[in-house]
Amino acid sequence: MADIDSIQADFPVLQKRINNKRLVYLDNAATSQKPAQVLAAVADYYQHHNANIHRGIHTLAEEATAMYEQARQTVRQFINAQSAEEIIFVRNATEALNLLAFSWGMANLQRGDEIVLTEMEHHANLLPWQRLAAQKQVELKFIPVNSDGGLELDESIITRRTKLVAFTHVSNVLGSVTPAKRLIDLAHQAGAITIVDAAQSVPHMPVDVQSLDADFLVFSGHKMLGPTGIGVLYGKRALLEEMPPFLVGGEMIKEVTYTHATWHDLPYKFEAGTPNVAGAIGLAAAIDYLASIDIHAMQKHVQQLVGQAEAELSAIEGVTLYGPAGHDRYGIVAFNVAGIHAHDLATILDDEGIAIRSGHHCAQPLINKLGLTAAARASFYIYNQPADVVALVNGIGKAQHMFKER
Amino acid sequence: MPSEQLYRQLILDRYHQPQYRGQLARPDAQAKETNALCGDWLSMQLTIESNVVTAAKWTGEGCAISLASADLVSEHITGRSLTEADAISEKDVLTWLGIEIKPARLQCALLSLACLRSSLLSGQTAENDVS
Repeated sequence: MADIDSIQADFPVLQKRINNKRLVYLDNAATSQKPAQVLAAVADYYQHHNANIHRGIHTLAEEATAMYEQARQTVRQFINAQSAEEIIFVRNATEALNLLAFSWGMANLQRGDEIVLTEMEHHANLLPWQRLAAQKQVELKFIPVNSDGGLELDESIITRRTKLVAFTHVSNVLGSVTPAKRLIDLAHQAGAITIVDAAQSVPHMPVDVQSLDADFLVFSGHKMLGPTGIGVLYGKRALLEEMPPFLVGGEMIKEVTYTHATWHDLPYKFEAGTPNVAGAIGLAAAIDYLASIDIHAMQKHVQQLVGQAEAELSAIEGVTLYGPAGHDRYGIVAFNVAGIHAHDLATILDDEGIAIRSGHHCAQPLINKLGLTAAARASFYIYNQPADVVALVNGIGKAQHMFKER
Repeated sequence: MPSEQLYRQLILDRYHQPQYRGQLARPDAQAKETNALCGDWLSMQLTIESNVVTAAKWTGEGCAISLASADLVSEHITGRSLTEADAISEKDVLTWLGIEIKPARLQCALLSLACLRSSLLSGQTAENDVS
């Protein structure tokens, strides 16, 4: 089992120097870095096995197909789906959510129905429903978020008219975790189906779709050590089978005439065109890598860093933290420094080799609800170290000194 | 460019003590622009007399670069003819700021110019409405 304190060596990019400083990468909620094992798996596929899948009879096509389908099995096991047919490879969580809005939403929603979201959704889990609501004259309702970044859940918001409850598992701005199981149970009692946006949770905690009883669950590979351009849509087989395809074209058909086509079985019905074979293989390598680390040791490591950041940042005069206190924060610390815009802070920290995110974090309604136009966000992952928090604190000190009114 | 140079005294002075922040009582032209990348916003108001910008004010929320830029643009257009104001370029604004801007921050530096151009257009529309 890999030692959590010595895994930096597995991440080549961490050797890079930024402005002649050690790279301190604290933008993991945007995308994670990739271990050499993932890079090697992708290179190995292209160097030794590359072919188009499912159609070719030759050796490479068989190898590539087997590797792609093995990757699907790896993902199935990772989230404990009942069958591999319930794992659809997509580009990312955004594409999965758009697929659901287009395919499930257009087929299943009618005028007067309601969709329940939370006030802390990433734009990816808001805009597809906004558009659908306008097209189908469906009402959007929002579970309010309180000042601690928790949900103010009044169960009466979910009614008999509610057809869908779609929510983030972990907020990409605040790091707060939502009561997924409770929301899913409430939705099911009302006869609604559920979508879990697990983009920020899957990298940090074990997620079991069967114990959650999630109808759909989506995530991106690149936030959990995998390549960009590969993501996962999980759906219960019965729901996926009822749904029309999203994209149509190659790979997803049984029979085609000039005027008609019949769709392939799951999961291929939703995977039109040549898929991201290398991406799926890279994602499987990332899952294998995560599996080689004790997940509880990893969680403890990240939580310790978050706790350290929380303690040290809140001790700085002029720093305001947002979101939940203590261990309810999953990998993310959002904050502002009085008198310094988050962009200016990010620029000054970059000088020190420190990468943070600044702005509205693709959750503009939430940022505005908090009374802000922008916030700084430091987000941690397995390869971060206590020294990274110290660098962040020192960098903030430098920014405060630079911005001091003279 | 190290951040000490980026946040040179001129930029920080304009950020902390802007000279053109505020509102005009009866502006002849005005517009608001937002930076789609970050949600920051800027609103600019102009008084125009005999085709000359005689007063300029701005309000907004943003970073030091964008707000210093708004203040400098307001200063530089005051007293200029509409033709001169129309001709102000991205290069002019960057010259006034006097700093080298990385691509990621260019939108911050140039939000003021976008706002000025929209303001000038709103002034033209207003004139047309009168005639």
